[in-house]
Amino acid sequence: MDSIWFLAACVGFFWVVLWSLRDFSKPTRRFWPFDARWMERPPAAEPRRRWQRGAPGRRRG
Amino acid sequence: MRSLLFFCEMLALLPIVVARPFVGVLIFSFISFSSLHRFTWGFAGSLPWVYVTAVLTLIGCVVAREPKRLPVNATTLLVLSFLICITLTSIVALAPFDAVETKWEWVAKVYFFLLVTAALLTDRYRIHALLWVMVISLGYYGVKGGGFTLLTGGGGRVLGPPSSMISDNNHLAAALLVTLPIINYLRMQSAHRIIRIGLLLGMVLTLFAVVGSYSRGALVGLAAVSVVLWLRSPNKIITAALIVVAVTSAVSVMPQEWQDRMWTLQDAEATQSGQSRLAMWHAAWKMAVARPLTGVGFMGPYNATVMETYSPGTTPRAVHSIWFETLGEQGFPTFLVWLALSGVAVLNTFAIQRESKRIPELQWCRDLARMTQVSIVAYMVAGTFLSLGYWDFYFTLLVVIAATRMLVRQAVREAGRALSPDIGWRPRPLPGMTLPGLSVAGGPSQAGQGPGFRPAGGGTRGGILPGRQASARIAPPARGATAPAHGATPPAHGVTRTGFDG
Repeated sequence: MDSIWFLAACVGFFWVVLWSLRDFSKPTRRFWPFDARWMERPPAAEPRRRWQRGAPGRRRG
Repeated sequence: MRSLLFFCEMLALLPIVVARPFVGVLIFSFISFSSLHRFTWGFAGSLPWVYVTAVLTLIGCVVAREPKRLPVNATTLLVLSFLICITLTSIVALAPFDAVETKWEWVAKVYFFLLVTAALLTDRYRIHALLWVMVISLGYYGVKGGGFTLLTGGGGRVLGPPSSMISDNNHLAAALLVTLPIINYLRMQSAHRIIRIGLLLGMVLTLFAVVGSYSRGALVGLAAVSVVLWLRSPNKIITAALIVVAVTSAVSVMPQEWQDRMWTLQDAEATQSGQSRLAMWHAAWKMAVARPLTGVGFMGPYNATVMETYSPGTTPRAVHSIWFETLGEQGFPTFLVWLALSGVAVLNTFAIQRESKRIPELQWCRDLARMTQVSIVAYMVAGTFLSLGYWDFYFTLLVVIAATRMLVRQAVREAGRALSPDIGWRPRPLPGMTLPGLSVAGGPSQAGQGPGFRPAGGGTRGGILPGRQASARIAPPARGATAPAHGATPPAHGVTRTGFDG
């Protein structure tokens, strides 16, 4: 079990170095371990309540 | 086998350091923080990895064309001042020269490399990579220790790597407390669901490891971290529920022996451990008062002759407090420089939150600032009972937050022409409105995924704002044109997000 954690730490570190080496000015949808979503905040959930959304047909102002 | 694996990994990475010195910073940090090579049980454990990495990184800094500049800010100036101060106090230190020199060499190396780190932390990708390395380095002990605590039902103490700053159970627990908020930051910033769940599990296991260390100081630190984490959390009810559930589950796993030990906190001064700590704090204070400018120097409190001179009858040993350790060993001027490093970091976190609140793309800076505040509190509270005054991990975090502040300033300056200031007579754009000349497609959730992804700086690698926002150049509004006030149509949720969130 201890060796598995050791291996995970080594692989994780190796991945971070490779990730940091990639050129982020290129399109990022290649292979998920190296995309930019590792440092992207997930989108916020859609507001569901009526008062958050605004009444239909009306614009918030 | 482990030795061979570690050796091959380093052999593959070290040649890259000359061309990309930032990789050197990552390797240096990984080995310094985790001391993983000590678990190889072979030839790789005795090789001077840190030294080799440092030399190659410095060569890389000279020959490589990678972006690097040593920023002149309060943090770097204080690090430089601290280096000078500890050198001066070491010259007049009272402990034997060999002991002082060994400790000085170690601390000076760490603080010098902080300057190298500051020079190479030039964009968000590097900050993020360094934070991942920090989390992997200590998260390794958190996850492993948490699993051990669960499997043994809290029957054994969780210890750190041998021959390192965090080898002691108390030190490791404090280190894990400082790491917890950074794990949470990475969890918040990852769009990969599996990774978010994995980091959440990592946080829970790290919490178990903290409790499983049997450290009373860490329990006090854990209470402080929970309170500050709750205060800095946007969703107070859910956070409170999660904290209560996690802490209660961790405590419920522990045996009666653990609870008996923790109950001694009620009358800590009566315990032998509490009395020896108070005696050492008193001795360190006496040393600082007797030699206010220089202290007794590195390793003074460990030396029997020094202790007999300034506090007769006290057993020489570790001071067990970051405050008294620095004060007694270094004197008041160096202590103030050391303290100012944390003070400046706290100010940086508040400044980041203030300056970036009108730019949604800098949400990551606000998250990092909030979590760093929790880490600083963890270090201050848990460190009150431990000798971790020169701990490199914590000071690297302070350098990271200083670099983030620089990026925020740069981003605000770039956006400043369109984003009118808080004060002044010009009309301010309102939430949700599109600024004239600022056409931005794709929100933060789409940033960096499509072929249109470009970093800041018009094509150069790296940047401050993710996605197209980074490269959006904001044209000044036409003369006489005013921003629409109330009634501006808000963008559809999750499709386009421009303007402010303030």
